Amino acid sequence: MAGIADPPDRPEHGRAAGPAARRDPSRRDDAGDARLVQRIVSGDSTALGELYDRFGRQAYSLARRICADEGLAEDVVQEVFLAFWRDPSRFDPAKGRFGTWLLTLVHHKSVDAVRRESAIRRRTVPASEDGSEWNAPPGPGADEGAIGALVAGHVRDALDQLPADQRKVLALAYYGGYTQREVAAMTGVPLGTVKSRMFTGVAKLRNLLGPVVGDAGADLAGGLS
Amino acid sequence: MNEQTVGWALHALEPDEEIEVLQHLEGCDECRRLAADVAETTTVLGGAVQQVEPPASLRDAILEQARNTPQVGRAGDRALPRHALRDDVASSGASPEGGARPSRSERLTVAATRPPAGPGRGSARNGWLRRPGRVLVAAAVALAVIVSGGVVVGQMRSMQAERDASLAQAQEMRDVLSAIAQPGTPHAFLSPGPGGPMVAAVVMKDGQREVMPMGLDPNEPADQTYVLWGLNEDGTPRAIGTFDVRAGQSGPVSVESPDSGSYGTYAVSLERGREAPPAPTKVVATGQVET
Repeated sequence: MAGIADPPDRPEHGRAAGPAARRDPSRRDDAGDARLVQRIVSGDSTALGELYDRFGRQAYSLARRICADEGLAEDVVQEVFLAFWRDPSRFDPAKGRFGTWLLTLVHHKSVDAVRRESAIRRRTVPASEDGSEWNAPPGPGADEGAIGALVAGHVRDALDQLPADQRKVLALAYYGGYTQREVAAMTGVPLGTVKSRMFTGVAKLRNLLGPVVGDAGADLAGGLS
Repeated sequence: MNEQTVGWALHALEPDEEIEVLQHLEGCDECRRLAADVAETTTVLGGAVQQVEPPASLRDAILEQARNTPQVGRAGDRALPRHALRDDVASSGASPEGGARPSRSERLTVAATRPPAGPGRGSARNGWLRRPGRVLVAAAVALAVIVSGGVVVGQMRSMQAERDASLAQAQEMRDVLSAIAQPGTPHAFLSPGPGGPMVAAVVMKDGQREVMPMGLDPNEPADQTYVLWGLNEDGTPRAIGTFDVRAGQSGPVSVESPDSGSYGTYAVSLERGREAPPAPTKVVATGQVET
């Protein structure tokens, strides 16, 4: 995953090339995440700080991308981490990775925030079809780790391979926070078509991102086929 | 259901659709796996956005808040979500212990009405943050529990539970949602416009209409009243009855009415005075009847 916020003194795992380099960096230490989670369950607030050091930057980046407002993004990140602190049993390690759970929650909370926010905000409307609407990091020269940049580049490549109509509905929903019905109204496309484009787009992404998503999502291909 | 499951995992469904998917997920291993897989895929997208360093104060604020926030013990078989964090920490700023960083709602004076910012972005979106007990997802989770008999969906259910639900709120909704869960029970989810959030639900229960005002602001009982309207095919509204929404109220409201007619659409308006006018002056939500 791009730019995962590892502790500064933490050496990078994996290699700079090959499949391993395309793996989500957050997965490099799932066991470490599990240990941090367990410490939080035990009431160790220092573990929350470590977990924030690991995921806070990514959580904030996603929230800021969706909310288009720094203050709102801070609220979302604070809400998410404190929700987990307050009741860590909400995360079930048996159901998946902590990073996936956390970022999904950040996404949902961010979408909720922009939906309820009374001030008009810039909503993500992909006006171009060159992939720039996804705001993927521009490359290794950016403020990214090498692995993060590789992953982001891979994601960008995958997005570029999606048909524009599928990319657009996914962008509006995922980054814009619009419901499918709203996407239909904005694009002038029937709701059923929006649903099917979203479905197909996710399925294609899953296949294209296989090396990044990993084996855990193997069911998706079957479920979407 | 696959398309809907993907929409659900992307948080892109309407409230009533979310409820349907939640019900379905209770008994469908395939769709639960699918939702989890979609989450895996979209998480990669989420991680690929341009990375921005958060302000250092955010980390400090989170840890400070955590030190002042008691933890809920791990429970074995929670059938329902326990609380809405936003109610006591994140959004209201009402943490009794006092947080290190005020939330946005404290830092800014937010206008009560949000100007439309796109389709379905009506003013009724306001208030969700500030109104405990008026959150759809609490209803969705409660309904899922009602329908399933309390079977835990797992990560998807807990994710829903994260979103603003509380045990008390869910329990107060139980009666109405139980009625909605019965096949053939006429009910309607009301929103301010197409694509807007559900702000109320109407259900016929024991021959009487009940309104669940999940997103309706309290009215001034001295000189305002909400009116429930029924619309038939010709679109002519008929006043069914009046009701009040009081601050802090989170349960259903019975609408006293001798009118036992059936309607295809319900609407709610907020009116000056204490009686229903001949026609609605300010419609705040409408919704089609479903069974």
